Amino acid sequence: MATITTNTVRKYKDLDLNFISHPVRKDVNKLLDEDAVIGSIRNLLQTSHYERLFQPSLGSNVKRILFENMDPISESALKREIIQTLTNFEPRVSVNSITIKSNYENNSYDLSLNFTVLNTSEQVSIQFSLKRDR
Amino acid sequence: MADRLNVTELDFDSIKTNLKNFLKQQSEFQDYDFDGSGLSVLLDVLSYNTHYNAYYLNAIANESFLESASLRESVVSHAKRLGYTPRSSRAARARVNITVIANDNLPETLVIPKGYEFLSSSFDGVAYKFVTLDAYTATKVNSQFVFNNVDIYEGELIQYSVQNSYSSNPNQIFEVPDVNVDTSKLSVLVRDTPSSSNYEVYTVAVNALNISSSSKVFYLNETKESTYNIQFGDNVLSKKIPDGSVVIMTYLSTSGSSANKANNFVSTSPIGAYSSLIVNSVSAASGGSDKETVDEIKRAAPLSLLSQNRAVTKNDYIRLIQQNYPALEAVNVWGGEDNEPPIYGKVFVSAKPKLGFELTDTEKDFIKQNILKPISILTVTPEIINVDYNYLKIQTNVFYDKAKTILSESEIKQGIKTNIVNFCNQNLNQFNSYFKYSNLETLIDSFNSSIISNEVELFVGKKFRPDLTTSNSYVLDFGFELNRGSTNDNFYSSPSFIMVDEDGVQRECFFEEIPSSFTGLESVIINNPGYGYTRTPTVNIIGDGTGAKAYADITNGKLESIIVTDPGIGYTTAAIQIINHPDDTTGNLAKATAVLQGRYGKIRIFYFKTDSISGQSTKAILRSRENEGVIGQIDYFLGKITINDFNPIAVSNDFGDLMINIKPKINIIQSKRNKMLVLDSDDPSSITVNTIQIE
Repeated sequence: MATITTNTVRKYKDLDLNFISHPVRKDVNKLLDEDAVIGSIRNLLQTSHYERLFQPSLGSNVKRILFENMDPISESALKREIIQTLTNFEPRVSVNSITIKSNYENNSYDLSLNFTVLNTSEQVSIQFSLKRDR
Repeated sequence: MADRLNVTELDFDSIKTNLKNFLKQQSEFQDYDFDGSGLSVLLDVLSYNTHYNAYYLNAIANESFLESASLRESVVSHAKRLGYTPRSSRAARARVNITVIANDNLPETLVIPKGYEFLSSSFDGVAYKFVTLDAYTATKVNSQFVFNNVDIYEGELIQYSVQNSYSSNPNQIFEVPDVNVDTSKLSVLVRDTPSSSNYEVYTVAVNALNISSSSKVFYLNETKESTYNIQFGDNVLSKKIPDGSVVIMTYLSTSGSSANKANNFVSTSPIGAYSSLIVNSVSAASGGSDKETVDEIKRAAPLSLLSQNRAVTKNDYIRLIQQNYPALEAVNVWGGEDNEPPIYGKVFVSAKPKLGFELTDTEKDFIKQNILKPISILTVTPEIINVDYNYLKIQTNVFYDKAKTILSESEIKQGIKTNIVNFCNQNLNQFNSYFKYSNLETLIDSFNSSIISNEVELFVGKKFRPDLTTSNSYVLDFGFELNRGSTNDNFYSSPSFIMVDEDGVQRECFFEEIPSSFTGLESVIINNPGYGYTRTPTVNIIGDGTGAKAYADITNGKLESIIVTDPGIGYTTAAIQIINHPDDTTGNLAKATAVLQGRYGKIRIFYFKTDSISGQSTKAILRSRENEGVIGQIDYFLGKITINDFNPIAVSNDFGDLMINIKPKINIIQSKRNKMLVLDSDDPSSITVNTIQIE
């Protein structure tokens, strides 16, 4: 008798908003699992409140903080804002640690974010920098 | 089976949820329900786009129907299809007399030109400009030119000319470039060429029935920008104006209703060579109204189609009067056959103006001659009669629990008063209205949860202005059954008036009712004399009292009268039964009604007499020596009060009005014909609220 195995672990599959086509299939690229989650975090941090139609609370205040004076207060505000945003809008992520360092020469913040993707229990660490653009 | 995509929702959130449900069926992209995902961004765009289109389609569908359209241009367009042109602002009109002191050396006649300007005295901070729309001529009499009844209209008279060109304006449409134009005062002249001195007058086309290819008419329409345009014909349906001709539009740009009540005019420039002018107002400005609103157009357009611009039915009259004379708050119309007594061949109109209580004679004349005459049926004469006002006086005792409210006593009183005024504004001040006592009590109870109960006492007052020079009789017709007096709090008059007593002393007097109690039968009224009576029938009185007796008189086989021989005692109701004599086989159909004592009450006049020694004031009846001082009668059943030979010297009121107040018998007061029940909110005695605290 054949057995049917069902996989209860959900795979995260998302659209890559860069719309880079797949080199072979020439189809829109897919982001899988942790890449999908990282893409989502990036979207959330880049979206300001009131930017999305009919969903004023969606997004974060990161852009506004980047235009504040660069000092320890802004640093901690940025940290709090990122944790808050991920808690509110990204249920797949459990943040383990976040470190922020002001990079005065580049007028940017260097961030290191360590989190666990919930369905894989895999720890992911990403480094990125936030710099005001305009 | 895969679910279908649900397409019934219109709002953003539901559309997005539907899309998500739809996406659940695929495994290609699964992050649709995480807000940060790229797919979610895509869904947002899609949902927004769908929502946007749905809204747009919904708005288009709404605008497609007269009932649901909200843009003025859509409503106007629907109205146009029903042959209805929305009413523009209407200029207020006043009437003045002008006296010019003349110089004897100058000509014998003087002309006030069209467009001559006056300025009203400042009113709500604005002095309004009024102009004449006709030229008036007067001849010199006793070194004076007197112009009587000069009609002046509020606004600025503007002349606007535009040259016609077939190439740039192939449809012959010209815009009147003013949103405040009064289109009823628009005059249109056409000159063949700019230099020509000849012109032709074009008038507005009311309907297409009497228009030929040479008719000099224009068609008036409202534009998208809320202005009006005029369109000329095409030589098939009315005359086409020539290429290169000049259209000259003269119109009044008016402030509409805000100039109503403007008065005390002065001229702003000399007339001819004369600058010594005296301007006296005959009537203050009235009849001004604003442009028809979207809601008014929605209501009026279908009704206008129904009445076809002809006054035939009652509603035609009401509609056409309101449309052409918008300064009216309420209009009622009834045929002469429904009048009491019936007057055939007439139609009666009664109207309450928005400001004040009575129409002026000028206004009545205008409605009769200019509005109704041209569109009513030939043999039917319209008659405008004054509104017969019944003034409501409300006294209420309100019981409330102080512990259950944070409002102070005066706040409760004021709040209840405001509620009563609002209730009356909604239910009264209109014709054919019903005033329900119980509704008022419920309203007062529901004002605040602390109110336990209330008692309402209702009086209805009627004003009349007695002649102070001669003795006169007055009939006050309330139009509903009145409460038969049993105590003295049923009836009062205000204010006091001065009359001379039998000893020639002037007294400050009031009216009072002589309460009558129920006893027996006063009389019997014959409703139908019947026919064929050969012998006198027996009259039986059936009622709850005892002892009443009456007999009948017959003449030529008909019942002539029934005479009461014994009124009996203790009757509150009674019916008359007519029984044929046993030998009489032909007598038939006679009917009669019993009138109980107490249907009629009496009115007399009293004053307070101060004893010169003790200083005590006692009540005395005026002229008690003649007929026990009785001066009038109340017919409780028909609601009529008659006062005979009444000749006061003065009335203690600025206007000389006396008001008689009495309680109605019934709890629902209906206003018929020209009767209107109103609450005079300027009169402090119209609402009295007494509050009583209950522990």
